[in-house]
Amino acid sequence: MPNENISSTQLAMLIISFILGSSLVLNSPTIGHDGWLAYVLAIIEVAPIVAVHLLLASRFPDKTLIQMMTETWGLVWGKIAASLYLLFLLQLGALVLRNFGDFFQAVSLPNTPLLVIVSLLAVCCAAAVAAGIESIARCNQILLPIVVMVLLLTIPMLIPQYELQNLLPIARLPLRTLAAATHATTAFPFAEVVAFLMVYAAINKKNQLLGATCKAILIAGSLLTLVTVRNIAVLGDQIDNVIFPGYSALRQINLYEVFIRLEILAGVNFISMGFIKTAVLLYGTALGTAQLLGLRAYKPLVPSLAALMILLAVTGYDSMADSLLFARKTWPIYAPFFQLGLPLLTWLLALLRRLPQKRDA
Amino acid sequence: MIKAKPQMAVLLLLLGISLVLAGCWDRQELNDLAIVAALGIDSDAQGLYVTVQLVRPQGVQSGASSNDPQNGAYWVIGARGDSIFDAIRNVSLLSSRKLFFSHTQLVVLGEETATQGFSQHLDFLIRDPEIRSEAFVLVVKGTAADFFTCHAGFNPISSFSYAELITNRGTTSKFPQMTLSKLSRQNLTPGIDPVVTLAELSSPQAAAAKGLPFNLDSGTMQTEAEGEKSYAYGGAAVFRGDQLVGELTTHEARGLLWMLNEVESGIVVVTALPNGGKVSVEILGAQAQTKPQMRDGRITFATSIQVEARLGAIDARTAPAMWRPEQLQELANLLSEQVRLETLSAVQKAQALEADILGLGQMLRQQQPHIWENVEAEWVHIFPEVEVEVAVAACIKDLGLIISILPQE
Repeated sequence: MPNENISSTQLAMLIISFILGSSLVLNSPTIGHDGWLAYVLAIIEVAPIVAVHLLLASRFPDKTLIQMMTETWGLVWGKIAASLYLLFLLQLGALVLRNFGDFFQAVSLPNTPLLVIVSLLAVCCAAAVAAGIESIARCNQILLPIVVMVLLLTIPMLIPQYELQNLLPIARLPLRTLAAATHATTAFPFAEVVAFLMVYAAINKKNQLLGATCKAILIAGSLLTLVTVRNIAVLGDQIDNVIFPGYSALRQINLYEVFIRLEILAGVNFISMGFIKTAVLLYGTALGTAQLLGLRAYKPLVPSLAALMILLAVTGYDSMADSLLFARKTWPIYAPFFQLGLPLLTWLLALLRRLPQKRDA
Repeated sequence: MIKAKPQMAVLLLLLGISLVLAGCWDRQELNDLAIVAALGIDSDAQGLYVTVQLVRPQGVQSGASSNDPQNGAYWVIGARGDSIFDAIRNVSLLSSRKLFFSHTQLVVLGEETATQGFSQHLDFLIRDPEIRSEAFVLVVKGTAADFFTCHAGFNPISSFSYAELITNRGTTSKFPQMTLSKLSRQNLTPGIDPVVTLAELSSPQAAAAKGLPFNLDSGTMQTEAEGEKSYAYGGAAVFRGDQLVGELTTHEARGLLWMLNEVESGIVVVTALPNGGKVSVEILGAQAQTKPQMRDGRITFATSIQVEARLGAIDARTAPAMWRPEQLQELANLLSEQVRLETLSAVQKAQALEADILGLGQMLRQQQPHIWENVEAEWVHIFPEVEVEVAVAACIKDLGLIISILPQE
């Protein structure tokens, strides 16, 4: 396995891009004009989940989750658990690809087959993954500032369209609804950072892991909250009725009839952040598969895994309605097993079995 | 030689990609498209029909402006269908080019369609990604089909002129504006009913028949040429839910805009004492704030409006010269009263029509959610009864260049 190194800043930037990923275009909390509140609360809900990830990562500083699992669960059970986790990464990658394809098919390429749209992104991701996590991280250092700049620019550009009273009244809704929305927002996108248990091992200064991760989640969370406030101020209660709120909000930019039709910026953001998100997921899947099977290199696996991801994206859901329903209803119940369950079990087992054993003590 | 090979392969690949990328799957060539300037939706006894105003680029160039399919700047065609989408597709039976809606600036509802309700059509207009959600919505007295064949303004394509007129409405602030996205938002938001720009066939007789002080200038767009008709914006179409229930005069429409904080500029003519002379005041800006409150168990709305204005013109025959602070203060008071009456006329009309176009319910929901939750179900019945108090504070900021055209004492 090649020994790759990324700095803590690069890791933080990767995590930010990963969380922004598809959330810049899709909406997860379905509580109308209180949606931003779900993002704020989700940052709090995700904290213990990420704490488990980090505890695990600090216990096995040079190992990926696949290696940790095979070490703590025993050979057979470890491989079974690791396979489940890899399938989860593959499936999440396919879901991101699918959302990406759905979006572009809906807004600009209605006659282009989904397979073509999805493949174009997946091929880029495969090339990036073959080049290694270092390359993905460096690529992201260029892409993320552009996306953040675009985001921060669209906020003043929409000022004429803002109706801040759209945000009122704040939180007049049953606690149960708020909790459900918060949980949905935690499961997508925040807790998906579980994929980084495949990446944490590559960070060069292990003591900066905690700081980088927390900072990244806070920054990504604030950006998403800000974007949601922007969308609500423009769209009002309509935000739950539109499928791509970020896109629908940007459609309304109109500065002196000069800066109009800027909604493609939402597409630009989705392409770049979706690329990073899918690349990280594909990297995790490829590296993990290689480690699971005891191969020396993961690169030969990349094209075939990318092809699998494409196929799963295209055939896994009947329609956009299907993938949306899956992301909204099934995901919050299904994903936590992988986002919290598997890492927590692994950590508890490691704790009980006093692993890893210190050999040189 | 061996080293050069992968580079050659990459080069060939890039060349190949450039061939494929140059024409994308969903390309739309300009000469295959018929650009739709405006979309009209009408209903009659036989059902629904849509009319589109198509841009004819050759006609625009030659400067001819009529609905002449040979030389005109636009071409109006229409078709019937079982639904709006079906009808639009049926238009393609007549148009050799594919209808292209990305530049549509107006969505025009005929009176009959508006009376039946717009929500059966709104879904399509919002769902289809090709139609801009920033397109203006307006209601036409009569049919949209008639509206499209008239001449207006500077632009040879009349719909574009009418869209520009809406953009520039701030100079009079006498009619509201509505876009597709705003309409769908209001349709969804409890406690607010939509109010839409209203266009009607303008003739001096019709304006005079209404006998309203503000109505004369709705005829300024009149072209009066032989056989040419013209529509003008005057007032507003009031909806209850999604159905047209009435209309506001220009006077009431501006009253509404004061409250909705949408008045940019405009002229208010006040009658100055002691001789009853007319003084025209130009609005420079206005700010309104409405606060709902409970008083003696009744919901009351207190609106305060701040108006800044300048002295625009004095009828020198009857009105006194006005430049002393106390005279200006008196003028400001008269202006305040005028604005207050305008606003109250809009409130009364809205309550008479039982259509909450003022958005009072929405304000209540946003500012006093606990009260709103109790009255939400009953709001339709409560709204006509609520009390609205309007307080206006105006100030005259500017005199213009002269004190008076009369000799000074």
